[in-house]
Amino acid sequence: MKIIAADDEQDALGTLTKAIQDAVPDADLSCFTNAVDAVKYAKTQTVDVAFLDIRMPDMDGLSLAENLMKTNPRVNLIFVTGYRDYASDALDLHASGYIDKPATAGAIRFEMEVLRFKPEPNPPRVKIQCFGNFGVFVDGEPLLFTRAKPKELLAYLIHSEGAFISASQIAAILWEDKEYNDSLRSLVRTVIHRLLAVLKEAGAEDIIIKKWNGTAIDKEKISCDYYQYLHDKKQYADIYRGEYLPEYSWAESTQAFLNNKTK
Amino acid sequence: MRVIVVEDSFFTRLRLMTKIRSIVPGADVRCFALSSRALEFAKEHTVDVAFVEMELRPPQMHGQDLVVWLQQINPQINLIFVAGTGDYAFFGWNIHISGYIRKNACKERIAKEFVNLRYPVPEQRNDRNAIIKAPLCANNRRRCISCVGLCSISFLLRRKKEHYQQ
Repeated sequence: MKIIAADDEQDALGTLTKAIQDAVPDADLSCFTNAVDAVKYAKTQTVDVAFLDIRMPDMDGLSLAENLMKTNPRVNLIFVTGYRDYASDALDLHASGYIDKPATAGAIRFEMEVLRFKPEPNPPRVKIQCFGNFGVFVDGEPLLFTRAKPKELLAYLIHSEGAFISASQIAAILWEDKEYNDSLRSLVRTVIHRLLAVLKEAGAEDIIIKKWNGTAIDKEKISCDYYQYLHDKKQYADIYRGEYLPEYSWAESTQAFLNNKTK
Repeated sequence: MRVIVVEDSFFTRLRLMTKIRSIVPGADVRCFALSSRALEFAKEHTVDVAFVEMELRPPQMHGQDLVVWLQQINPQINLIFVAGTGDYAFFGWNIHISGYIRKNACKERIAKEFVNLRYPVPEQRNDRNAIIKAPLCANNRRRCISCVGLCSISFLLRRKKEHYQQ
């Protein structure tokens, strides 16, 4: 379970961290004094629970919560504050809890039992971003592709939602106008090999299933915003901002389809 | 899914009922003007979502007491407060309610509550096709005045729609 804690005051953050570690010892906890860092972290990882202070100088706790919800609509927000005035706004955001400062381990333990969105027991290590520029994150670190073709192949496999793609289809997508002959066949093999090499370096080669007649992505091993949107449109309505894989021309028809659906 | 609305003002009850029935057409939605009747109903049937008016007028049970009782009967109930002001929000946090809407909330706002329920409705009661022909209110013999109003207004609107479609 990934937990983040954000508070601008160091002492309060220290107390909160200690209380969270007492209550949930086996959680992956990250602390931030700066709201912007918290949002950057949330973009690379799926955050399950966020303990937020409301009165912060640069970004209000409620705006921080809204930004966190954009990256993961099922994040459990727990506001830690001494002021009662924000209770109504917190309820409008459908937060999971509202506890008093200083936070105690007992209160946090209780909140963990009544979380609004139950977190997944084993979240996938690989997070894919399709809305906006195509991005791949393994354990929070962005995956760097030195060549463009393996990255485009991975994007196409994700776009196909787990269907097996044969070598000739890959050639047609990656090299649109070229004739499919032996040299192109070997180029496709090289691209697949390069993609698997990049993923193996990050320890994530199990997301690709390679058979003799086709290659596919294993949907269980990745968390992708496009799949989440297709799965539950109502809850994930805020994720889609009008851009689906803009750098690839073969994604245009899906983008038009999504635009029509959101209207 | 079983939804109850506890509200003593006739027009607010009418509005809420029509909106909820259009959002969740397969659910069993009942309205109560008296909190005692609502509690009796909750004891006999498991209620999944309860829209409770906080500013119930005396000699009615206070909204805050009613929700505590409802939670004791079913700890997994999704409570949604209905109030004009935001004063009951802090109390709501203490008992971990599911949501808070204002009295004139629009249909989209109410639909958002159903999407973000705190305790998911168990599968056996979430069948959309199950209960369509439920009586409007708990009075088995006589319909309460708000339901009479609901029926007549919906009947008149349907007639008006047919008239314009011709």
